[in-house]
Amino acid sequence: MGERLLEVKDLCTSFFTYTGEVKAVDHVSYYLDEQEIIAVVGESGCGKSVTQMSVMQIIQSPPGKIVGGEVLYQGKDLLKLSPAEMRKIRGAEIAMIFQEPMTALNPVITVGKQLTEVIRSHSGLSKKEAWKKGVESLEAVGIPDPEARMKNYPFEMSGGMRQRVCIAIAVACNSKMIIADEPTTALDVTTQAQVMELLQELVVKYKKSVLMVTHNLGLVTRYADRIYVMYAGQVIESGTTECLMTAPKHPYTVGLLESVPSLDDDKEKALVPIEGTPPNLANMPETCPFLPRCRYAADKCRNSVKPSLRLVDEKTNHYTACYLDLDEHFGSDPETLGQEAEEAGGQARKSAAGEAGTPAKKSADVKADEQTGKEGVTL
Amino acid sequence: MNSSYSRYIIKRILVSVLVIFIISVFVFLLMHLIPGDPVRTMLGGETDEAVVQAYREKLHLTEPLPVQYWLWLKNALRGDFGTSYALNGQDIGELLWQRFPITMSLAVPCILVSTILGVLLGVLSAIHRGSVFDQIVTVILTAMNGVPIFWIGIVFIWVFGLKLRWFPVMGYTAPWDNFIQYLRTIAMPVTVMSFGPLSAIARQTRTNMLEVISQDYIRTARADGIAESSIKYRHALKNALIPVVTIVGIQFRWLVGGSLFTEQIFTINGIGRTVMLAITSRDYTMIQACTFIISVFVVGVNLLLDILYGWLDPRIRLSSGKGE
Ligand SMILES: Nc1ncnc2c1ncn2[C@@H]1O[C@H](COP(=O)(O)OP(=O)(O)OP(=O)(O)O)[C@@H](O)[C@H]1O
Ligand SMILES: [Mg+2]
Repeated sequence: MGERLLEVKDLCTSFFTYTGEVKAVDHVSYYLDEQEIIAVVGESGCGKSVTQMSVMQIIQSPPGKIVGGEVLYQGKDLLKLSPAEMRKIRGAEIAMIFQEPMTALNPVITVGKQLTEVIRSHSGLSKKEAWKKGVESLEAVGIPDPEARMKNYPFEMSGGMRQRVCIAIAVACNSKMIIADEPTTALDVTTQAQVMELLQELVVKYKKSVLMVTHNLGLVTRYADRIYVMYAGQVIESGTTECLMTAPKHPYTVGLLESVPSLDDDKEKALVPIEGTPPNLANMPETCPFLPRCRYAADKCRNSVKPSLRLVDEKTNHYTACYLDLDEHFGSDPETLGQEAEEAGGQARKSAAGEAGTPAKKSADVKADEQTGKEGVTL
Repeated sequence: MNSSYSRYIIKRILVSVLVIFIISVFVFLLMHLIPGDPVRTMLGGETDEAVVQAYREKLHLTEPLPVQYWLWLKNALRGDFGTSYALNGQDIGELLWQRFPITMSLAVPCILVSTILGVLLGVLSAIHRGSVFDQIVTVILTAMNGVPIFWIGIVFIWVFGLKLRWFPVMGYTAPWDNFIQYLRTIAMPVTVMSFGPLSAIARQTRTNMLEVISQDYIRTARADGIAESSIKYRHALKNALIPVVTIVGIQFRWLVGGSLFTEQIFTINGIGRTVMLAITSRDYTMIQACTFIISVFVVGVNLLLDILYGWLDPRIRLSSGKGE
């Protein structure tokens, strides 16, 4: 791990709607080091995307507005930059790729023109040089026959191919950080694996850092160094992948892990969705936001204001926003699950860093996972 | 890519030719669909049987139907539509050759002004959505769309023609005769005729623009750090204009229909007044000719729009090669 690349402190983003202020991002803090892959997980609507779009400052305004916090990129606060300065950060320093590759590219402009426009808006390159660089970046993300592909329109490409084009844009401008908002959700399992391998290769080969938002815990355990769990616009637990998978402290994280089917797939306990729905972001309770859905809720929880993040273990960087010490309550299920996760996780990274040419083996792994029903689980 | 576009264009041309052929059949049959004897209807009840018979023979009405059609089409394609009964034997082909350009010299500037202004207003009010400007434009456009063309025409004649005496209230000067005078004579009719098209085009552009701006690819362009001006006027506008083409086409065709009113109000002898005259005097050969010319014009406009569509939207242009 290298230097601190991005540090987000107490970021708050709200949507001002006629029903009131929707606190979509509520004092969220996280960091990303160089050459690190971190994952942000959580239920739909918990503010994962809005957090990332706030960092990029591409929130639609009105109704959205960043109402507080700092976004320190290499030590300087992006929120203090002028729009023109921020534009130079987007795409050039921090690139973002989105969930829907089918709609993420402009349908009436060729891939080559879209790619070269981004390159040229961040460099003084001539049209010809930019074109050459575009071809190179398509090649770098594994698109065969890149010269010809440059002349294609997005609709002439498959979803996986388009996602590669989006990644190529990120590569073309040498951005140090890639924010990937559910980059693989819309893709089939094999393509998912290929795209993730590609992102990982960028980290190893080009020393980039990746923040990925995902619903897929299988991908998280396989690729992420650390995890942030979000709930109702807040980070409620964070730590290394290993510690969160083996020893989660927050009942919500426990619930997420339980919702993943286990390997010895007895049908009865296949999927345990967390009961209830998250609170209304426009009208948050004073108490712990997870309280109404919490299995372990104690008197202390009901009688106190919402817990803030507290350090559990310094070594694993483990923080949780829960008053309880969950070990006492813990059943056996999450533990077995955690061990499986540990076996799967982390190792992929190490081997990728060590030896090249393993993707074939890994997609085979993924296929095996798919058969056992572990991969492709969504929350 | 280019070969695929030319294949697309050729295909559209072939379809247009086919459509014109079908239309010609219907236009021809018009004569025979009219209840009773068209010649008698035209000439009036008391005409001498010999005269009627002579007229029938002149119009080839005594031949078998397919032969009649063939003769009619052959002449029509040469621009020969026979002579006008209402205008004392004037050659219809020649007449239309004079009058159709007059209608066009009003309709074309009208659609140009409407399109340019409409797109401009639509884009600006979409970009400044909710602003005072947007609200004022919306109110004006809604009002423009609501007023009937003959009413606004009369108001214009009264205010700008009779009271202020800025523009002539009737008549027409061809642009090649005196361009300044031409501009003065068409100023009022073109303005009046532009109300509907301008309003429709502007509102359509605004709606499309707003829809496009919320699309994923615009978000991508922002996230890529592309300049805001390029996002709006290249990435967004290119997509927003595609459906506008349809509206422009509809409005252009509507203008030719609307010339029936405007030419009457401003006393301009274009195709609109000719059609009016033909209908009121039951000059069936002239109705036939006018219908055919206007239909061919509409098919031509559609063809032009299809070509424009393909040019704007690669999905249309490129998928034509692979079959639809
Ligand atoms: N334009 C908007 N107006 C009002 N509220 C909004 C708007 N966009 C987002 N929100 C609110 O922000 C919350 C967080 O949305 P966000 O898209 O970040 O969720 P997410 O965690 O990315 O979910 P998903 O997994 O479905 O992508 C939503 O619950 C929604 O209420
Ligand atoms: Mg999201």
